[in-house]
Amino acid sequence: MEFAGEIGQVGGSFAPETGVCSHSSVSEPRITTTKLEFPYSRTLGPVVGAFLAGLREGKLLGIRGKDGRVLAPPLEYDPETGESLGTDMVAIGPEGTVVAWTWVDAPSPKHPLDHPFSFALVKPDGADTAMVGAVDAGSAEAMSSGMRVRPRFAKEPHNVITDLEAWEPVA
Amino acid sequence: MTDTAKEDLVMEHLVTLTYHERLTDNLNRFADGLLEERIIGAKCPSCGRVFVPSKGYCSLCVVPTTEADEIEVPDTGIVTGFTIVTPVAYYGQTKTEPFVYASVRLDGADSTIGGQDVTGVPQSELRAGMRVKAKWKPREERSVDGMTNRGWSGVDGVVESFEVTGEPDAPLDEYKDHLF
Repeated sequence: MEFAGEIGQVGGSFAPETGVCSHSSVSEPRITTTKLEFPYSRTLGPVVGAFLAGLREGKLLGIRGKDGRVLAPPLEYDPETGESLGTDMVAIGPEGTVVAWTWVDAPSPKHPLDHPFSFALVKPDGADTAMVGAVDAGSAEAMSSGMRVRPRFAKEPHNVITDLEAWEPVA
Repeated sequence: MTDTAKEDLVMEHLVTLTYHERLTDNLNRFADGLLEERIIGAKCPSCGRVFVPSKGYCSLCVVPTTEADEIEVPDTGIVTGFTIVTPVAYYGQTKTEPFVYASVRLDGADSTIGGQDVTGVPQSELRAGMRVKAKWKPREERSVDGMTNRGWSGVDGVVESFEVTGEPDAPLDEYKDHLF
């Protein structure tokens, strides 16, 4: 394994990837790395499929719930009654409003962006619920609840939610 | 886009679990040995069975084994059983041709090492009882990085295959209690 720091005569080192400390005065522990991978191919169905097909075209779609609310992202079943919602898709957005947010200073390899960003709940215009997404705002100072954002779509869509790559502040 | 096309949309979803782990002390010594072409097992202080690699305990007597119980076993042994796997092209499968998946009991050991390649004989002539010897990878290619505490990848990173020696087969009695 590789250590991020230097192993000096006095100090130890810390490997951020593994979270393991070592000290030069004790023998270095052997850390092994193994990876399990499970590849799934999932058919998306008429509701989520429609939503992701919309993202490919730069459009946001919600669905009308039994109480008339517009749910985003669209669900197949009503969250209150469990009834099927069919395919009553409703065009929403594309801009939206940040309802709540947190700042990610050190993104992990699995995060949607490779630089600091905000995870936020964004309520697209015309929707009655908010959806989780990344806001590419540059710094936490640029973030606030109530701020207006617009979607940035991936150049190469892959039928995944990150085809909505991030939200950007509306200047 | 038609509704049918939307329903046919497929999402590729790769779930990845990455483990970083510190090997147990007994496995760590086993790994140290492998890099030096030495195979270390542990002899149960109660029943005398030899486990390769050491589990840190004897699972039959339920007593711990320590470094003092560890012994070196030779890199020769017996094929106790095998299967010829015809690979299907699932994700991560690197093999394309039928390959050997054999259990090898090293001389002096009571446990078997599973999933080993046996070379030096056509697959059609492979049989249980054949005597084999480890063909070690070149020193610079040896790695124990894939070892885990969950029993995977015992000697795979250091042993290329087990090569048949051509000696007479071991009699069934020698390995009939290890047919797995």
